[in-house]
Amino acid sequence: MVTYILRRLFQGFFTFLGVSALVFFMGRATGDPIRLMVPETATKEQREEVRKRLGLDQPILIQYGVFLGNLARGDLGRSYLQRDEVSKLVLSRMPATLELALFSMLIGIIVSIPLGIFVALKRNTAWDLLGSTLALLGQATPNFWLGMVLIIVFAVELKWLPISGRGTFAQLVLPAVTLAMASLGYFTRLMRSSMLDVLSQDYMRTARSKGATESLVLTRHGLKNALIPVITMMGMQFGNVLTGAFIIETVFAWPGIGRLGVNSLFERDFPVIQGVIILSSVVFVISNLIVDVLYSVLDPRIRLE
Amino acid sequence: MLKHSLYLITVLIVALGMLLASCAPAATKVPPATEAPTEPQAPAATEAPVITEASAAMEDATLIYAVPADARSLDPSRAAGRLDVSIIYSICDLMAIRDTNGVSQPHVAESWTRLDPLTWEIKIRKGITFTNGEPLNAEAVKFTMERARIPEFNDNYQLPAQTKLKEVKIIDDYTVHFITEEPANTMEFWFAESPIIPPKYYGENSIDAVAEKPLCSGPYKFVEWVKDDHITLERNEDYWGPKPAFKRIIFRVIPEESARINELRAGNIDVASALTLDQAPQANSDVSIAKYVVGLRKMHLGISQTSTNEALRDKRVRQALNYAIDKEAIVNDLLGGKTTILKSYVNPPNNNPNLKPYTYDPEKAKALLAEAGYPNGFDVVIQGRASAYGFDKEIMTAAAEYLKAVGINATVEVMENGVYLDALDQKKLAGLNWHGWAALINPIVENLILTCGHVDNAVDYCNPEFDKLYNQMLSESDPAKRQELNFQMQEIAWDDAPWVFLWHLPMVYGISKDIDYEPRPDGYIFLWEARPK
Repeated sequence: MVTYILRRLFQGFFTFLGVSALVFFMGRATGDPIRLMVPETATKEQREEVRKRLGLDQPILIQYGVFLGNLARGDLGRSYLQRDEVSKLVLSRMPATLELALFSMLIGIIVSIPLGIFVALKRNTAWDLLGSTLALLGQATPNFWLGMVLIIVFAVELKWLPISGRGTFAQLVLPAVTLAMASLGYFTRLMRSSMLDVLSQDYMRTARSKGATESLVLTRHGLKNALIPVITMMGMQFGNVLTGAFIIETVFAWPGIGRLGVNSLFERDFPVIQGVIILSSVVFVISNLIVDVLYSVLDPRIRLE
Repeated sequence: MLKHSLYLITVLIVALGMLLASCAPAATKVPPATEAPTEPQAPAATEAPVITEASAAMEDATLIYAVPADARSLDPSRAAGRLDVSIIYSICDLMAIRDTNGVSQPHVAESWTRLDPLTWEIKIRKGITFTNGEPLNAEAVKFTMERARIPEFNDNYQLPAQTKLKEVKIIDDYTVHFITEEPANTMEFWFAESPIIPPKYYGENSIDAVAEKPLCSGPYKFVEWVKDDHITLERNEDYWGPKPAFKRIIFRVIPEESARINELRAGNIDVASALTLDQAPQANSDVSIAKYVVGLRKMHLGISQTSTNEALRDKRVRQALNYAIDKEAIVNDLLGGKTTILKSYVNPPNNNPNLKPYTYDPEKAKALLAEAGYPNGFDVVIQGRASAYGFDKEIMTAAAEYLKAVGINATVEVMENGVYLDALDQKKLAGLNWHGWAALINPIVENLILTCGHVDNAVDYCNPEFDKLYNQMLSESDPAKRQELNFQMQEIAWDDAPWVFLWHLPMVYGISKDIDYEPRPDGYIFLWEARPK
């Protein structure tokens, strides 16, 4: 097991190296960041000085070499626009996004698992139709639209919740619920199909014929097996949720890493773009690894090589 | 493993708990400070402090101002961009303050005289102290200008680079000489962009240590900056000048325009800035109104002189383009009549009043085109960004339609921000480009961008006559003669029509009915002027 984990981490390192190279070269191919950094009235000399100071006048391969060297020392550089160290910037914004991601995952799990089981048990009834349709709607609805509708209904009209910002628990509710909607729909349907699959297995019939009560059959034999694919997908989804909250963060003025990443893209703030994407790839590699290990723990039939 | 029914009960309990917790009262304005009352004003000033009506009614009031994006830097030597400088100019004292006519009025610089073309003598106001006790004197001014020269800051704090400042000589504690390498006729303009900083605080601490903790002498003190969330300022109770009415100012970052409007309507914020014309009416409510301001930014269609489109190089064609577009109609129909047509490419009060306006005259446009050899028109592309100024696509499309009506086959090309700016920078525009320049009142800069080869002369307009007059203006010390040259240059460039001259960019703010605040046309946010109603 340990060698497996180590090997995966080693492979992960190459993944993230490749990602950083990709983002380094692609970023610089999008154009010149200088214009976006200096005031309108800056003279040509001033712009050239900025270019030189940031090392942007060097040939691109030399720039990449410098970047790699710094990366080896754990130095992600400094934001062109804010002068803050990228690592500090990125890490300071992580808690906000983590809070949002974790809470929305929690909502997703708490609602989708029971709901998925329920509609599986009530297969082909009106309950099933209702539940499945709601799940589909949750997945299909564009989340910025949903966010705005929730704001209008719950914050502006009913005044039950605040409109935007971060600070109190109340401010976390609407953005987390909005973010949870798409995963919720997906997991409910996944739980349902996984449960249906398990229910038709032979060992379920065996358990019933042994005389176990229905609830015991469902939980000890059914649920545990049905949860395996769902949990693994949730683990993978976490990476998505963590890095894809940009729209929610904008709509709700939530100061997270999604906004940092996209704003830095528009402003060609290369070091920050690199920092955000490198961090995201680390998160993905680690969460995929955790999911694979979890999978082997939950299902003894799976042996990790 | 939990039983099935137990699962459901758990879900219900958690859901109920969430509902209860979320029914807490919605977060509103930051509650007034409960700290100990501040000390009475120190009588250190040599003049009696000015008592105004505002100071008589000094409340604990907080003003919350919503902005679409966070500040980038609060280091006075680095701050650039309207929001950054507005915050810095509230925390620090400027050498001069620009009035709404674009004239620099004395502030830290109590008076100034130009001793000779290269030397400015500046008398510094006595009695100003920084909040850490340091005095604001000649040494502080010299230190400020020298710190601005550090490569780290050189591209942001503009006075030394723009005026080619060679040396700051200290004559006595409250007198300095600014000596420039060449005659600097824009010196007074740059006084109004120069905050003065304390030498010990900024000299003895590393740049990183003070980057996010500005300290100065101005009407407000810095309290905190939570990145991408808010910046808080508090009134400087020891301020030497008129005390601002609001005890606290909070700049809240709310990127989404509808969220800003919603917060305004809910009474959670006092000013929603950067609203677009189409959403603006939403800012009118029981507690707020939409305020329109005619800005200083000059909207135009640049006419590229170096693209492959040869037709654009003929002056008659360029004038035809100007006559072909009905600017009044676009302003009235699309922009709600909330702005004015450009009378020149130089802002009032420095515009030449005798320029012949380019009225809407499609017949004249067709005649000019025929004269230039294009009776059947030609192809042209209008390039621009999707959402730089508001209604961008609509305006570009409307312009294209007007051009089609006189026979010119115009198409619209919407470009991504960075790609567009690259084309602008490298002067690789393909035809017409929708843009807004120079939102300031400064004829030297406003004319500069039309000189041959200037970095911001995106259309690459070049007229040696124009440049000759410009160089004369630069070295002319007599303001009246400079104005005459300014007028002459406008006659040339207006006639040459390197742009389709359009209108001033209108700005919209949503303002609470409880506060008295007039947004400035130049976009600077001077909240010390705001007061509760």
